[in-house]
Amino acid sequence: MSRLSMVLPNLTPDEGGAASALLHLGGLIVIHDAAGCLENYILFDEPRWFGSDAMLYTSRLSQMEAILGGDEQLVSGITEAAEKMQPKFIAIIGSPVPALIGMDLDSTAMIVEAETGIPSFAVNTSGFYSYEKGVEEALIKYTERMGKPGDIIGYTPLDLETMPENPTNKNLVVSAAGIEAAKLTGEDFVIGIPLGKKQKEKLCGREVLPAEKTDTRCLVIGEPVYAMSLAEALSLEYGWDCVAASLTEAPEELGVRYLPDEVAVERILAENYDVLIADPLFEHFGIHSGCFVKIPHHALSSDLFTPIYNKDENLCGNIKAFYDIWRNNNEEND
Amino acid sequence: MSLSYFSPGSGAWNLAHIVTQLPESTILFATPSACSRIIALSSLEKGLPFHCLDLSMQELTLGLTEEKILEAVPKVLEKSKAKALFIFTACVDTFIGSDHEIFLAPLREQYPNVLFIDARMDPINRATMPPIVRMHISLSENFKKTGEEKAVNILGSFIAPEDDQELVRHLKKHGFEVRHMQNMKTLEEHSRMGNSMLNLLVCPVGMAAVKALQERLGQPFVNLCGLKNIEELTAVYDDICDRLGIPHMDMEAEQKEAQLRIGNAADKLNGRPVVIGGESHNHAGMIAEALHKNGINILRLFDSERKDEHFENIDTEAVEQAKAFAEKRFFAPEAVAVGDTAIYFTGTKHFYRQIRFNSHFGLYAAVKMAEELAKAANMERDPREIQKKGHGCSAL
Repeated sequence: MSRLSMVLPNLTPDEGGAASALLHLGGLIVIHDAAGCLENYILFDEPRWFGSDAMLYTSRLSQMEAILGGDEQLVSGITEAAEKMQPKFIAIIGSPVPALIGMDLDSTAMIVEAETGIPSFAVNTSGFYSYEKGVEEALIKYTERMGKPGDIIGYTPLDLETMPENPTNKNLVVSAAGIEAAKLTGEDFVIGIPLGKKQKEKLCGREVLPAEKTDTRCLVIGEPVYAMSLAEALSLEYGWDCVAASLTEAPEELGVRYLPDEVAVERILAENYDVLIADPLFEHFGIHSGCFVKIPHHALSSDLFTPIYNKDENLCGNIKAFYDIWRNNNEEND
Repeated sequence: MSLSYFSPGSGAWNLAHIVTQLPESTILFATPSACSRIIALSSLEKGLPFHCLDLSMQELTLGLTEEKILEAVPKVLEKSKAKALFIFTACVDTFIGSDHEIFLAPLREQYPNVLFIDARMDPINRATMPPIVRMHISLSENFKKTGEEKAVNILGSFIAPEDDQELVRHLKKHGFEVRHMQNMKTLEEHSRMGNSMLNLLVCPVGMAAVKALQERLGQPFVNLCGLKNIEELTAVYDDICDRLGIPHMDMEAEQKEAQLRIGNAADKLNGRPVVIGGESHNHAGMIAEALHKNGINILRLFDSERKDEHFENIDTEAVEQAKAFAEKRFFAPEAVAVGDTAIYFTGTKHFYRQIRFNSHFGLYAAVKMAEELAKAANMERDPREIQKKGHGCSAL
């Protein structure tokens, strides 16, 4: 369904998500597009690109190649590059035009693998969906062919400024997009990002005593696992009544409310939370009147704002302190 | 089809900036959601409004583009109160074959006081005019001829010329207004560029636009692009002066002045190597040659379009070149660089950001670059600045 956005930019598209998930795994990554999709991704959505040795290219698809079926040229271009670069794997990422005209990138990947002997797969992104779909498919395809990408699954800098540590003795899934790939590994995993002391203990499977409940209502908007983790962390530490919400869909069991468009955002903001934790761009709605803790989300606002590092040991404490100061100031003014 | 590489030093302009050349305008992007993000982010950075209509694959394939645009435009105009609206479609529209007249005609009838511009962001389309050439045509379609004014237009670029440019100085000295779209504050003021006596083309991408203006308004133009030497430049300047009925410029004096200024810059650089990126100017190769002749140590030129015996040309798009430079990246951190690709690959902290489609032409192009390089030699900056493109680009 079409939607008109006038306040929030679209999230990083699915092809950007796929590239981000695979970027530093040692493969040759080709976005099959006219170059605009790749450019948008590296200029706005890939903070690691500066100084990166990653093998990321565009096929520079032209209209005639798309119409006449430029698969041979794509294969030869990839084969030529692969011979020089000797990557661990080859990933061909789709974009709107190949998706629209039904290019069979899976077959193209099979041919590339036959020619090069290098494990190759296609990620059938289309540019019509947001990044988490690309991350998910890329990780699934990668895991199927190459094994698990590490004990932290689903990390991209689109959601987290830095790769979190894994305090558990299992695989740690740090985004909703990583869940299916984690299941594929057949290994045990936990879903969550350690953002608070008690919540970290709980992630490790240990019993924690939650703080006494208060009447502070908090809304956290972000990537589903991030929002869920932060909401839980604040609830355990300070007894806040926290709701997690996201602009992307997540499995129901995570308990994260889905906000499919700006109308849904307006509705949830009008629920009058005491604390809103979200990307600074949500301020543009002009609805929330409570305390606003601004935590940039790269997949939404790119690098318009300075990131807040998820490795901050005292993130929850800082949020609480910020709210306490805000509340005192507002009570004084009243 | 060879693969192409884009370094962090790629790009600068995007449509969010370009459309500001038409005052009192706004944009509606009717595209897959992937395409409009860059526009929205650039607009947010600059405090400009944006309107992105995300079309689903089903809507595109079922031919609903036109209908969805017609539904969206009233909301856009209600919010923005714009007097001109660019309606953009993207690459996929080329394959859908949507009929833009289906939405343009009723919109023009419903909103007779709003200028609707049919625009396409379709880099996939290499058979017809590139998007940027079409943009120049679209931007100048607002020019109207209601009389004749003592003015000339600078066309083809997106940045207004500087007062220090030799021809600009000469024209102003003889009472001519030098107009550029960037300086127009209202749509009405912009339209009066149609009354200027002459169009001066400073970047080749504007050629189709100046030809269209000549045909539509009878506005003559002079091409200032690709002039190879001082003799050609002098001939063109003399032609401009003759057409405007003003005395010729003293090109001997101008050339001496330019050489003196470049020489001063060369002294300040004191043999320090300079690396020039092709995206800094449409004729970066020629400027590099001029600087080299006047004593500046040009180490490398990143410009795949020009081969020059004096210095090594690098095509940064080639995969193997990119890999090679990735491996020996930061090959000249002591250099002074101009052009984002050059800045990136040298790894230098001494650089001057200049981007294509500026109005540095004639002798001033080389003078400006030389003087800015000399300044940059004594100033440290963070090379990560080049990552600020569409949003936050200091060169804009």
